[in-house]
Amino acid sequence: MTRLGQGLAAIGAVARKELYSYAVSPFAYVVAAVFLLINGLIFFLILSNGFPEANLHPLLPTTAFLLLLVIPVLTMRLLAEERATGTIELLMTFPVTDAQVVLGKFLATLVVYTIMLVPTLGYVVILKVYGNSEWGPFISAYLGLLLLGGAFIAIGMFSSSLTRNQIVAGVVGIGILLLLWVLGAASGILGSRLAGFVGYLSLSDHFTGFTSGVIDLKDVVFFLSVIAGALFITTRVLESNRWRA
Amino acid sequence: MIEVEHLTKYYGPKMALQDVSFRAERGDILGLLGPNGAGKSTAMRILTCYFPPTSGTARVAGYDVVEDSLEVRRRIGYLPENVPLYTDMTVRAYLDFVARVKQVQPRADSIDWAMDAARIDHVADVIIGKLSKGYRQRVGLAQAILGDPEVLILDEPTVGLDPNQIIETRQLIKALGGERTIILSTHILPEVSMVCNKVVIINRGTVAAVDTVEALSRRLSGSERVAVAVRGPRQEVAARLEHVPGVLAVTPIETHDGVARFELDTEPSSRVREELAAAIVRAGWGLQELRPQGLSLEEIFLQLTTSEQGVPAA
Repeated sequence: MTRLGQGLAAIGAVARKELYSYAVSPFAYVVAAVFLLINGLIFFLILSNGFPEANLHPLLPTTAFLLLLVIPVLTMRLLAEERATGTIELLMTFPVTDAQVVLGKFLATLVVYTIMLVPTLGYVVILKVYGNSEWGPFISAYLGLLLLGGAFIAIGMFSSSLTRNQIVAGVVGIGILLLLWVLGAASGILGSRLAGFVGYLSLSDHFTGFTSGVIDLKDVVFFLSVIAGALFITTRVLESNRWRA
Repeated sequence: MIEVEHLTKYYGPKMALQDVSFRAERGDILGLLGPNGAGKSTAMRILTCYFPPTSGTARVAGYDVVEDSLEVRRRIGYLPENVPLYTDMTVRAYLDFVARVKQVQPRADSIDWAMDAARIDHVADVIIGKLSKGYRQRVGLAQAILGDPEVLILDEPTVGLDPNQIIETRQLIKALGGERTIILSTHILPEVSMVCNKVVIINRGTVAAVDTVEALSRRLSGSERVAVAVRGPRQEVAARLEHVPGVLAVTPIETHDGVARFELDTEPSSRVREELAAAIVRAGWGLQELRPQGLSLEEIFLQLTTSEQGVPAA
């Protein structure tokens, strides 16, 4: 096997194990159920109040906010639990790098998240059948959701790496995401130069394009950078735990 | 196989290991013996690349634990003291994960072999969280031996087990020896003599003694070491020294410029040294040096748990 093959195999092994853990515990199902329930409720409310446009645009800000609350709950155990139970000691003495561990766990959670989104395709079906909408906005909406979710997951993992306490990890994760989300609103209050900079960092600003059917490369790059950055920092935190042990 | 040189580890201001050195060759079963908090786990964690030392070097199978950490990890099997396992997985699923991470081929056969060796094949599909401590320990051993690593590092592998399980585990470890190199840590003295062939005694972060098990037993059973240097013919001097009452063993060290050096194991008594001196002088040889080499193991073993009730020798 080539070195790359070995590396990917290691990531796959970690991802597999994480998917197994998600599958055998009720946790992920409960989180998904709560998300889908509330999301569905909002969708229903928007529909019954007369849908302004036959796409997901009115729903998405709420969906994004729900994800902001729900994803950190999903990710809080990823690294905190390993440290709390001591399994991290074996994980870090296996022939697998810290980066591979982080990537494997990230990918597994991304898969779980994607599966969680699948039932929402039902809304798309409804809108398509009862309205005359194009495919474009739907595609950009789900691309945006995937990227946004990826960023949330990466940041949630980061906060899980900081502590042994899952609850703390979850709360800190929500806190960080709220802060980054709210930066968008804050840019209205600050002066223009600072507002520009802050708006650039804002997760919500970069998500807006996708909700309107616009796939701006700038936004895609932004989310990919957030994901890469958060995963990188998480790997560094894991490494630093060795030196501080 | 394992070379530890001047290993030092500080957790902030707190010293955990200071200038620890020892070696283990292929086939050795080396015991790290010492009271709780002595630094055994710290030494093992450095060897398994969990964290790096503050200074000093450690090499496993020729690879440095800091420079070539991944190469080291590919060649070891590790069982930490608290046997941390993923309690939501079945035994087989867990071992499958370990096999994939260690890139063990052929996977299914290796898992079967490990389960068979650790005697857990009949609980293969049980969720680990439901297993008793004894069985979890065996699962831990199974994951350590998975892939047939050259080096096994076992941290207190028998602690918390009942006497039957302790015997089984010790037998398993002995059986695993042979071509493999095993380091295990313990604070139970008899365990070392039953399973290991070499021992390193650690106390409060420093090495108190490095020895083979026979020599250690001799010293433990209440013998002292005396260094003797005599100007005289080596064979005759050795023969004469052996006959001095209280002398248990005479080991020649070297002969230089007509002066023969020996290391004697004797009963602990200052009379012996007087007798030695008298015997040497009476024979007309020049007594150059007569010095007790005091490593007061008694002090150390006051702190160590020395007796085990109810566990017969393996």
